[in-house]
Amino acid sequence: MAIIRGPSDRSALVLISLTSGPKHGYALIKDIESFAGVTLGPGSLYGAIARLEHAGIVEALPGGGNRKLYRITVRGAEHLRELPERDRVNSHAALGRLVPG
Amino acid sequence: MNVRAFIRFVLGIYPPWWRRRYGAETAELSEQLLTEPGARRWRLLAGLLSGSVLAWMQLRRIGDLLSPIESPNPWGMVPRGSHRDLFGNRGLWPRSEAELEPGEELLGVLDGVTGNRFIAHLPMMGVSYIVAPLILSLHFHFLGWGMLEVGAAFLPLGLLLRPLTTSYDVAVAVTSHGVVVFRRGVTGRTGKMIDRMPAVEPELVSFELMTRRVRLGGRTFRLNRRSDPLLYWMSQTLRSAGGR
Repeated sequence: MAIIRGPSDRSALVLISLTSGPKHGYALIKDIESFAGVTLGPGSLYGAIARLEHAGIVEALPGGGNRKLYRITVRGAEHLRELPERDRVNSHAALGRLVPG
Repeated sequence: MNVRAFIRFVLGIYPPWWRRRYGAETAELSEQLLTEPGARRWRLLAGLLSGSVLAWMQLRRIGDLLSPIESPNPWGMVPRGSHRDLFGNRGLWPRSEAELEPGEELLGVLDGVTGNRFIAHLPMMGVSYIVAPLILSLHFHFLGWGMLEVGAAFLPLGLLLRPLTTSYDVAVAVTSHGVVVFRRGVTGRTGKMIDRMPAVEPELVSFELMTRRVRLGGRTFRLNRRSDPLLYWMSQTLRSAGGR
């Protein structure tokens, strides 16, 4: 199943943002705004997170009350690396941020 | 209206699993965003409303009850079918499965309409016209009787005309033996078998904006646009089945 359809996909933006480290909802919105110039609303953000969580690409860190921290899973990092070349060029920002190892 | 109360109201539209998992986070984040200088509150509320649609769509994906039919096509997608009912169930319901022949393997299901699509959808329109004003009346304390009356007319009229004109929502099941067509009810669940045909070559009659008119055997179907990759797979599958 194609989780990421393109760089403009909200899920891709969330994934790209999480490659620089775990973040909660507010931090994700601000980060996406800064690198992509796209302002996600809470509805779209959690819609994308739900989709990524369901696919096992993103997970919530335990604890934290209402403000949960989300991080990219090992499978998510692999998914990002395995994007086709066409998407890889578009996802340059993500690969640049991805922590090696 | 108090924006916080409206946020709570909008979050009430989300599916229960979503509210349990993300409801508190979303409410807190929304309130935090609203406290920012220059916050566009109506844009945020509109986003929350559209997010509820995404959440319900997510539910439909999560709610898949049938296991996928493993037969990836060149696109890498599993052709288990585009058909889903209102409750997110994919594939065929047990009553329809029971009408398959012994040893007949279900390969995929495409959803569509046969006959007149407006008549086929009349009962669902009736239900919408009845349910929508009732839901709105809970919030606005005003009942739109006009819509209710239209709904009350559409529902029985549709239920009466559909069997007379053989205009149904259908599920076109591609099996190892050919094609089996099942009726789908108002909720989308599959029911009685209405046609069975051997492996026939699907013929694309016309390529419409939202649908594809496809001729299969002696019947013409309007298949959902989402079925496009499945249509290709279907033509390949049926061609190979015909050649066996």
